[in-house]
Amino acid sequence: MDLAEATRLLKHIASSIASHVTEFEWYLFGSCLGPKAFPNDLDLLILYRTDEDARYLRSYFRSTVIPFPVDLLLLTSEEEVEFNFIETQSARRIYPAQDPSAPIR
Amino acid sequence: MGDNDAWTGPWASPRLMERKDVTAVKSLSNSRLQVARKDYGDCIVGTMSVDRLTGDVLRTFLEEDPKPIFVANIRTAAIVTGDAIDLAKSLQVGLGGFGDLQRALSQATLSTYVDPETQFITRALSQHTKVSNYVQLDDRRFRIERKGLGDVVVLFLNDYELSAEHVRDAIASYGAFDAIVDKNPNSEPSKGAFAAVAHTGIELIGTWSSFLGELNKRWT
Repeated sequence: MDLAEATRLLKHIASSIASHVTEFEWYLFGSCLGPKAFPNDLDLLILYRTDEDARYLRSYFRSTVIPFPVDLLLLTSEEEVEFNFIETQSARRIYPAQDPSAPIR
Repeated sequence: MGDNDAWTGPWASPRLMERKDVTAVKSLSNSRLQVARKDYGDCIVGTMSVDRLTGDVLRTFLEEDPKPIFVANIRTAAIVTGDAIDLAKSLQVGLGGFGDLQRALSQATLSTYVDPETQFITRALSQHTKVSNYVQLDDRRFRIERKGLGDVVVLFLNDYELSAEHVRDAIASYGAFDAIVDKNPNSEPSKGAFAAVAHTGIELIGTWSSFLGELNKRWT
């Protein structure tokens, strides 16, 4: 499975579980965006809104078979600002599609 | 092997072939690979993907032939229980994640592989003047016995960004412990991470040097 296929699957998952959470944004970052043909895992950042959303997302990724390793980082928007994560990691948003009128932050 | 593991062998194979010290990878099944190495002998490695690797899960996995010399759990951030670690040691099977497998392949003997984080922690504890003994409880927790002071159970993390959710998840997943130590020298826990341990009785120690200092104090 290449990055394009993996991204498609993650977008599909995000879309299918979006109704279970208040609001979220998904980003890829790290080595999977680099030139390596076979990265060791996919680094996924999800910005979440509530503690309940975070519990749901962690539990979902624990219990769901995804055919590649996903290194999941869950941050609140406040933590993202604190770490300046998206900018420093050059994270790429994959869900929802880029829409400047409706960001979580 | 469970259906959950079926993707792991085909996933690992091309990644191992990228290594300069690997000359060939032959798939024996979806969870067994025979790896030919440039500098050392061939070896058989097992691949799996489980969220919680217990002794029972490992024992069942090892019942399938051929017996691997190393088992790589491809799932990131998986919990490895103490009985799985003990079983691997007793059967002389190396254990770790995919990164560990890659490091182990560059060594002559894979069965005695110890990951760098565990090496770092155990070396520091062995050299600390207040520590009389320590026991590894699982992949993240150590019970530390101290001279003239009480025992403490410490959970070690190595995160660039230690978040509130990660702290809450560690508390829910690993059971009882007295302190969390973020040993990554390039990071600092978020404000939310400190808030997450408030009123839990768990201390969050943000740097390795602070942890070594805290070991000298009566904190429980």
